Amino acid sequence: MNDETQKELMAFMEGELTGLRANRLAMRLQSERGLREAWESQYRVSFLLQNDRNGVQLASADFADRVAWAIMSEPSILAPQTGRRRGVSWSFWMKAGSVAAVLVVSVTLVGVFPNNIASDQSVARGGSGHYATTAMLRGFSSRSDEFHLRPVAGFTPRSSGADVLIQRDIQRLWVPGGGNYLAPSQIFTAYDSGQAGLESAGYTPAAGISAASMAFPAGNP
Amino acid sequence: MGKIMGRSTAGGQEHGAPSDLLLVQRVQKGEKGAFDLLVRKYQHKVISLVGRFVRTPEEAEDVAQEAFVKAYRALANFRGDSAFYTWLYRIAVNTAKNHLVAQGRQVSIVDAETEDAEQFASADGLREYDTPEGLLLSKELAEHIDTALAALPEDLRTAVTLREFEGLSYDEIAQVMECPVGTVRSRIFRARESIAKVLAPLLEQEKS
Repeated sequence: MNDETQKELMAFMEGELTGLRANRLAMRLQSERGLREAWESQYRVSFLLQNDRNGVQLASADFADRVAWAIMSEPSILAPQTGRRRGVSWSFWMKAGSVAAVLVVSVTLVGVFPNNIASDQSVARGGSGHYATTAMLRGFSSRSDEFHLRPVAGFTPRSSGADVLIQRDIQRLWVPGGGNYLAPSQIFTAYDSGQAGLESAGYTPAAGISAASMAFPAGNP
Repeated sequence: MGKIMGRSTAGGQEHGAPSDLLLVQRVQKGEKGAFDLLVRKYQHKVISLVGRFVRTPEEAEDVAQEAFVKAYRALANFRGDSAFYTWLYRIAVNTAKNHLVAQGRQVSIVDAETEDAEQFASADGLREYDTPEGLLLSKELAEHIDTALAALPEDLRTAVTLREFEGLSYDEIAQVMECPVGTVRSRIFRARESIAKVLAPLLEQEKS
């Protein structure tokens, strides 16, 4: 073991190594037997130096291996239980929040930019299928603090989580080349779901915006 | 430097709590190997703690193993409100007490509250299963450690003594020894390695 690794190990043992370096060393300790043995030896000697006159018992050489063997049959811990306990409500608020955020942004856009999509009309005319997602762009207005939404290509959203939900709701509210919202009874399938795009959505006056997997309808615009 | 008799120790202190937390977080992400590091770090302390409740070294190891498995299962609930080792020692004490109850035995050692587990872990006193052979080994072990310490170069001996017996941090030792903290780390590492080599035959003998 080189001097640098020795110092890193000692710093980690002291809790003085932080962030990426600490995680990197922890990873090495988990995977490098020699380093792990040094870690164990350092603690053993430290324990003996501090307790040799106290009549204490030292662990057998294979004790840690036996514990590891016992742990092997245990299920892996994937997340703190507190997080799992909150899982349902957290998931609900995440989805509800994303819908609310989209609504607020959209209402703002309607008010501030009633004709804000003129520059995108050519895009919409070309057919909607090749636009896989949406993004927020700045610079369409002379005011630096204003922005609006438009579809963009070449971006693959994550397959789950808030991104998809937000983008799906943006899709529902976005009408390429037309008004800000869909006309009643207009059905659109603007995105190719086979390319990790947004899911198809529809609108009818009776049901509002809907989609097959829509858990939290955005409501009737 | 001669024999270091009647020295004080920093036995009650624990260092590296941030690293413990990091390892706990890694376990909570499904990395069992990180728990193995925690076991290797605390195995001696937990066994010694449990050893104050039970009759034999073998029983102490069995109960300690059960405590570690319980700790692993409960780790999902650990949020870092207390230090990991305090939490672990509490589980160990409770496991030992439950073991005695299951055996129909009374807690014959000091019935320490679980909150005192940390102090209890480093308290002096005879174990229930202390034998003349065990005490002899303890004396021999202490002599070997004194010999190993005396054989160390002065700078290594000073660094490890300040660390283990006075409980100074690396920064404090660096100030006392007027050297960079990296040098202190290196000296303590090498000192412990040297002592480990001297003790290895004795520990092998104990094992056999």
